[in-house]
Amino acid sequence: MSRTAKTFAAVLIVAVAVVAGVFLRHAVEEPLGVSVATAVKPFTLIDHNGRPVTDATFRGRALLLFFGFIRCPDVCPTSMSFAADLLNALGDSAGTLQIAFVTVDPERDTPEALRDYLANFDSRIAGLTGTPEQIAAVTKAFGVYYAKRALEGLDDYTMDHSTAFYLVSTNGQFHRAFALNDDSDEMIDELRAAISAASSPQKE
Amino acid sequence: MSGPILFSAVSFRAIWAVTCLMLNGGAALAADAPRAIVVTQAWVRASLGQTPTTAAYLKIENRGAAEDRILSVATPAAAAAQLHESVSTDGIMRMQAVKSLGINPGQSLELAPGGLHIMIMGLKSPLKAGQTIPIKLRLERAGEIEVEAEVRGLGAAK
Ligand SMILES: [Cu+2]
Repeated sequence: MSRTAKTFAAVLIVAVAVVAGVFLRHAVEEPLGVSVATAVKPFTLIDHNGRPVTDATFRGRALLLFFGFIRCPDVCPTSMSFAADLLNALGDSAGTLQIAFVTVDPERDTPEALRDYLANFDSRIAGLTGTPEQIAAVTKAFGVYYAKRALEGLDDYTMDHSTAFYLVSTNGQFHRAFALNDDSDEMIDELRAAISAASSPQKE
Repeated sequence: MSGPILFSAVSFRAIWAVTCLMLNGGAALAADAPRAIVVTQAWVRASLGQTPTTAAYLKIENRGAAEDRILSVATPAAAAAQLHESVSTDGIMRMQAVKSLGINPGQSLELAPGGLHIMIMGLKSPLKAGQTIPIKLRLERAGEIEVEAEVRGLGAAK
């Protein structure tokens, strides 16, 4: 390859990487079909105490949603222990935020199971489940993907799922999504700023 | 034609197995001989109620002069164990089975939450914090290595 061709190839690779990076970041912050500062589509679910809740239940506090399932062995517990760290880091201002774990496995994740599960991280985290139709609706409202996948050689399944955190403003508008990264301190700072912006959405 | 080839493959395996055995046996006899593969910080996440799946993590270090490779993992505490990686594509997390995992000489590899892990499936009984379970790694060169993994709370991040 000539020097020019090499340079061209290098530039091309960088350009593709940058575009892909921008696209990926965009895809994470603003999921498919969900725009920032627009009202989240209405949803109805059941909380970990068996009580019905809707999108309106959470108005007045910033709402941080995570979609996962109890049998998830790695990413969900890691994300929930981050959520517990976040609440602890927020200290006195943790009351301005409601974190909720929404199951994508409603067949197995009952309100009681969610309550027991979340007590291992922080009891302030709400667990939300519902009928398969209700879960389909809430995931669609946030552009969340989930699908059952059989575990090879076992009579069991796991779930592929989006693993971002979705922040909803106090007035029920979608604020943005966050992907969990390796630097949890950096993420806590970023979320702290976003939560305070999401708590006074008029100023946006 | 296939006879001699098959035979040579079998005999190569046999020689290899004996060599591995001798190397391992030798290392065990000479107590102060350094081991090429060192596994530390093994832990496993406690399970919730009857939930049959969980994940284990550890650090593996190759102090030897040649690449080695984890071929399989197992634990008597469960029906199955597999090397897995949590991979995120466009924000969607999938767990993929990792067929084998190479460790270069001088390299140390960490299986940690959110990435590489040992997926434990079909737990025989629930795992409670404070217990330990054996985890067996089978390596291409070092052979079988068994470590005790400490069970930590469901909420443990490391
Ligand atoms: Cu796994």
